Amino acid sequence: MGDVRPDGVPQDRRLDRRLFLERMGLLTAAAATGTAFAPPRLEGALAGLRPVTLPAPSGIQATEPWSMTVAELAALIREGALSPAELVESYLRRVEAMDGALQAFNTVTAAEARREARRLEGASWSGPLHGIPLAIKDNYYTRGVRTTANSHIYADFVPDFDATAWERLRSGGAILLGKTQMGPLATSRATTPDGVSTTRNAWAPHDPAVDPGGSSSGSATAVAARMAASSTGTQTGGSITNPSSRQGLTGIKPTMGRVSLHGIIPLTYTRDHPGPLARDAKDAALMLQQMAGPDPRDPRTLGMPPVPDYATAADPVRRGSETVLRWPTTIGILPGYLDQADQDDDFSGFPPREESSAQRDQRMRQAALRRAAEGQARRAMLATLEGVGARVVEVELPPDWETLTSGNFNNVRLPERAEPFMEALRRDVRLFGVSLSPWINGLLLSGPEYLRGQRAKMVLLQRVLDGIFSRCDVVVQTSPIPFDMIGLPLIAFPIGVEESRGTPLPLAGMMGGLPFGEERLLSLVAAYQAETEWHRRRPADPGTAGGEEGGAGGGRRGVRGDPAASSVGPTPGSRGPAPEHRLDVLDVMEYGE
Amino acid sequence: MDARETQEVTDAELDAYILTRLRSLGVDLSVLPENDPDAPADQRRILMGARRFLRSTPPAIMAFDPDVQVVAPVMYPAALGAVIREPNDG
Repeated sequence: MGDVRPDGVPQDRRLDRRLFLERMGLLTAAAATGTAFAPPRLEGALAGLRPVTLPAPSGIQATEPWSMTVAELAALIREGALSPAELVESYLRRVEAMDGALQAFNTVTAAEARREARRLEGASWSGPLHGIPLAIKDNYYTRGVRTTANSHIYADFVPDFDATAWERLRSGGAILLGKTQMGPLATSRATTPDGVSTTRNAWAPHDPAVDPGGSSSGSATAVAARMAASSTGTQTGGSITNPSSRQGLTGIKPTMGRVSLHGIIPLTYTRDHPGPLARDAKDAALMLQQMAGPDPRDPRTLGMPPVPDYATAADPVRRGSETVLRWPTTIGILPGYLDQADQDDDFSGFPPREESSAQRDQRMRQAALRRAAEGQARRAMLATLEGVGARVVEVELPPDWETLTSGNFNNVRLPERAEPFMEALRRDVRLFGVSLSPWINGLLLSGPEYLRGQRAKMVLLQRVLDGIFSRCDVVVQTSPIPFDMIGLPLIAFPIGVEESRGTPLPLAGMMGGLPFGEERLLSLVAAYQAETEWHRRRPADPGTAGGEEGGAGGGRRGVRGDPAASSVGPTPGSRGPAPEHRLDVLDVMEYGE
Repeated sequence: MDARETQEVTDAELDAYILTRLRSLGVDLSVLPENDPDAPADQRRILMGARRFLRSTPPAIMAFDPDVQVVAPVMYPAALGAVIREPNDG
């Protein structure tokens, strides 16, 4: 077992990058042959960790259990100042009051959660997730609980075992509060199997056109609306980082293979990544700490370096009264980052297929306002990170970047999703509902095209490792797709709010790292969050005018932010019934997953 | 086939190719309505998406031509035990 303490040199700079390149190459081969490619590594993943640092109970300012972070709840539960049963009841009351409007959950496991909470009250404290109620994405197998992936194919599927990632969380004392809404089979924002949008963005529950982020939509809404302490997601094309960005959360997509995919309904063998959506970097670290590690049932997780101490990495480091970086870190800025819009700059996911010129003008105005706010927030984010000691440098895009990260090369993933679903495709294509198109297209890519595309992906990985990361340790991103293609870690975190649509909506930063760079990413975001308050902001509860905890309107700690950012938007009750929002079968090809 | 030649394939030719390919795999699109914008999926939109895909993705992928001598496919990597080697492990 190597050194897993988060001091000295972080893991991303202790490993040979070329070996990760080789590993990804073998992963591609494994996708084609279905064979395992690494010997099991059986030693315990968590050995050597320091005792987790939790906040002092006397310093916790939040009063309601549902409004606390996982770290705060863990501190109170450890001290006996809060019981798991009280906490479960606190969340169930919120779910009952709000989920009718927000539709974050497919299934709420109230009876099971109460039973498990009672059991845990008699057990000794098992760690920071002891008694913590979680929302689990509905593509994670949960023993005895329906697991649908919002698809007709799995409509009545009740697994007889737990996904490894959930099993690990449960063994750490986490409680299943419910299963969350998602895009059908992990494509698109959450809809019914036939494409009617379900989950609302917790920041704009009155407006179904405001994208909650997909496909882990319900997981994001559940945490953003404080209906669960934290949640799990899966990311193949942005599905942890996008919903986290859309809803003011901190979400981390770890390095390929860091978290087991065993017992998770597959989408793309070489690109699926499980990970947490959380309220801040510390909570994301506590979740990832428990989820990560080798699993003999998933060869992608074997032969990896030991899981480092994420929980300590996400503790901000102080020197006197100053926050400083845990490790010297250079942040790379890609060309155009400060002016380039996020993936969907109008925040709606897709513009309407039919709109008047006035509607189009309004949409363009909103997009311009959002872009301007985004650029300002990104500059402020970088200034804050420089203030805690980060070095910021411009980095060049590797050759062929636009080509290799384009939608065409992104489509190389499609045969990997069609192959495991052949039986269902033959049985009845209607089972795929609104998500059918990418499965059909996956059947149309030829062998040479798939192989050429996979080789191109390896070229991209090589150029990112040897090019971009020769000048920096992390790189800021505008799209998750490039790093999703090549299995590198990404973190998304809130950096502001904007009001282009007349209601406060979160703005997010996103950074990518080297292979196994999770601890550095978490430490950077923890340092940023020690200096800012954006991660403490939350949306108003549906039907109320409350919300916006964190005070000072966000921004740098102790500095008043934009007073307008503290206003709250209309609530569902104030606008009458919301119109139905539908996704088109052709939109699914373009949406993150 | 390069991108220019692919552009010259007609919709009818592509539709025949798509449907033949799917039928050869046992996948039947005819269970979908032919043209129903209110349906979750219909034949018209699925074929439209597939034509768009075939006109763009395969030509773009095959137009990228990495030098195999410079970028050799990594099919037979070195001992993977090395990936878990860390300085302290010696």
